[in-house]
Amino acid sequence: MNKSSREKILTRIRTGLYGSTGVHQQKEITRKSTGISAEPTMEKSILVNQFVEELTKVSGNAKIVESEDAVKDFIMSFVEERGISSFAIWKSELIQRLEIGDDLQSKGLKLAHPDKKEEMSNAGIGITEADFAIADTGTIVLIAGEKQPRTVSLIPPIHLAIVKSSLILRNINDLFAMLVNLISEKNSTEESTSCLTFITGPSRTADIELNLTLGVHGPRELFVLILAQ
Amino acid sequence: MEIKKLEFKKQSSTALTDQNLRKALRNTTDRFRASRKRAYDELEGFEDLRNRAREIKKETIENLPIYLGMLEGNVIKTGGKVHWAQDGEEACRIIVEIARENGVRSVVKSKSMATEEIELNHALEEAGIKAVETDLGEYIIQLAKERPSHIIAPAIHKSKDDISRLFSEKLSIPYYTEPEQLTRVARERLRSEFLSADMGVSGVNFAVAETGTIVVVENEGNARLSTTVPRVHVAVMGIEKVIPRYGDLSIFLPVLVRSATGQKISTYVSFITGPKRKSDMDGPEEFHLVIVDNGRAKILASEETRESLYCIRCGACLNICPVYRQVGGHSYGWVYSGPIGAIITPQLLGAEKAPELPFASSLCGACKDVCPVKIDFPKVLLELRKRVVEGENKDGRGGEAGLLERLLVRLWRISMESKTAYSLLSTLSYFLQFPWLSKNRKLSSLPYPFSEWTNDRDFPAVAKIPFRKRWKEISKI
Ligand code: SF4
Repeated sequence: MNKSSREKILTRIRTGLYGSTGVHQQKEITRKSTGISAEPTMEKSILVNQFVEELTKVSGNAKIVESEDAVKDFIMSFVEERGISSFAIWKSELIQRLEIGDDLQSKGLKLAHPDKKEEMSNAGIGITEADFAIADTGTIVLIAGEKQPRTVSLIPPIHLAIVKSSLILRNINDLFAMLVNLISEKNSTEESTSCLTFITGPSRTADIELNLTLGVHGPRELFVLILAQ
Repeated sequence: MEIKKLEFKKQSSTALTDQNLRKALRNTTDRFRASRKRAYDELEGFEDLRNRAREIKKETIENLPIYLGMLEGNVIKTGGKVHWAQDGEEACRIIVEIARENGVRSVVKSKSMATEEIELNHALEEAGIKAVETDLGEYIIQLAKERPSHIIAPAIHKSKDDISRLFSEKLSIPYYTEPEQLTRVARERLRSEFLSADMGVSGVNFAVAETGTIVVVENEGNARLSTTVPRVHVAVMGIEKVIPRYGDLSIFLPVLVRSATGQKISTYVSFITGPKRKSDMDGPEEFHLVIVDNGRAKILASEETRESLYCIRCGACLNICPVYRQVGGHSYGWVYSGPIGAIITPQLLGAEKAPELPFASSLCGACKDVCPVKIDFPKVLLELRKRVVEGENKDGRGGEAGLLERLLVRLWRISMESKTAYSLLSTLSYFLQFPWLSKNRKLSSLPYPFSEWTNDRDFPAVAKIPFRKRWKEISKI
């Protein structure tokens, strides 16, 4: 690190802001940010419907499933229908309990490991479980971690995410009210996540005469299975 | 990387003759504006969000050393490295050094105005390192060896046909005409670049001091790939990108995205905090944050123009600007265009490098009305104009506002301040105008210096009976 450049820049900033002395009465830094309001949650079914509607608007596919078994059934028939031969998957509690990975393998699909780029680039589908979702925008929120690698929702051409209906929040304010607490508890520890991602629909571009085209670099298709609870 | 004096007048005159460009500009900016308007109208309380966003920016800029220090500390705590660069050259040197230490042969880049500004691609190539732009618009621009002409849509000056031709020439593929086909080609080409690159370079939309998190907003997924797949991630930010708290993002994200593209939220938003954790299976092993000054700190010294650093690069002011909409981004001569270019470029490069830019505005204030952080463009532009004019007074040169202009302004002032002088002058000009008066009672070609006006538009004839007189008669009735 170039220490002198650091000092020079900071001195330049201080002189600019506070005059030649560069002395500034340090204001107390508040952690609180206005604009965040976690209000009592609304009727879940309203949120679920809104989430479905918003996700559909941005070319995502949403499906409400009534039971854990139905989640598994959907995935099994989906990979068969699409003729998918290789997959990558998260090891979240629900996914492990449902043994989705094992069953896909016993169906003959190959498991791609996220630490192997080659395997990942051949995977036909990535399966994850969202940590939160936002009804108002149709967004799912994925928090990376040991069992939740980042590339599973990124490299395969199809991304399928499961989300429990209880985790669908009203809007971005409610989400941040949650996240701020979550983050500050774990801040700067090994446990804090290296990457949190908002995903709202499949990858898109409008760089050629503003024509909307899906699947430019990320997944071309996004499926969200909402597990009603 | 010496930057020549920018020639706005010359370049914009050429741009004005390019009908294809003007059509493209009109289409894109109209659509962006309509989307923004819809997004603005549908969100109740947008105005409050803008006020809040401006307040937070003000608070941040006024306490910048503290927040930058916090940011640095937290990035280091989470295992990242922080570098400070006084100018573009130093920033490039740092990044090339990181690449060398890691034996990097190729770099994938996601869109970043800061790296355009420091001309990183050039520096990497000189060091023998391949640098590939991966945002589709940037990829197009890189193939064409051009500069982005819009903050959000870098290739809007190119038609589909231009791109079809470019791709078929540079990538040796058939002449594809459908955007889907062209996009698929780019996806395939760039996929292999992502998988083989050793280093990814990204920009930063927001850097959260409180947690050391950098936030990257995008739609394509190329920024996610650039910051996830290669072994090393380097993020480049200007000093003004820091924000205090994680929670502030609940204000900035909607405000940025809705102003930029009119979406409620972009397809992807990545919140990256340090390199991969030990137990993570993927993600970069190294994370470097390069904090770049490059002329920004000196802007702070002026309270009049300090707010230029509030900009969150949404592009809304470009789309609304009657000047940008006619002349396009390249006329502004450097990386930033439109109203934000007109105010930031002269301040970053120095007024003497871009003396014409503060004048590239009609002062209509539409930019101020759409700006999500409410930058007071007319105020800043006038201050910068003053600097251009006064700067010349000081060293006795008569450049942009030459002797003649000052003389005319003085005359005008005298005539406006005295009733006698005013009526004398208007009577005089009534008689003086005859030699140049056309049949339709317009003045279409006056001699210099008035030709500066009549070259482009007519001047109405001076009336025989002055308005003062007529008013008196009218008010009698
Ligand atoms: S100046 Fe304001 S409107 Fe223009 S790009 Fe920056 S934030 Fe957007």
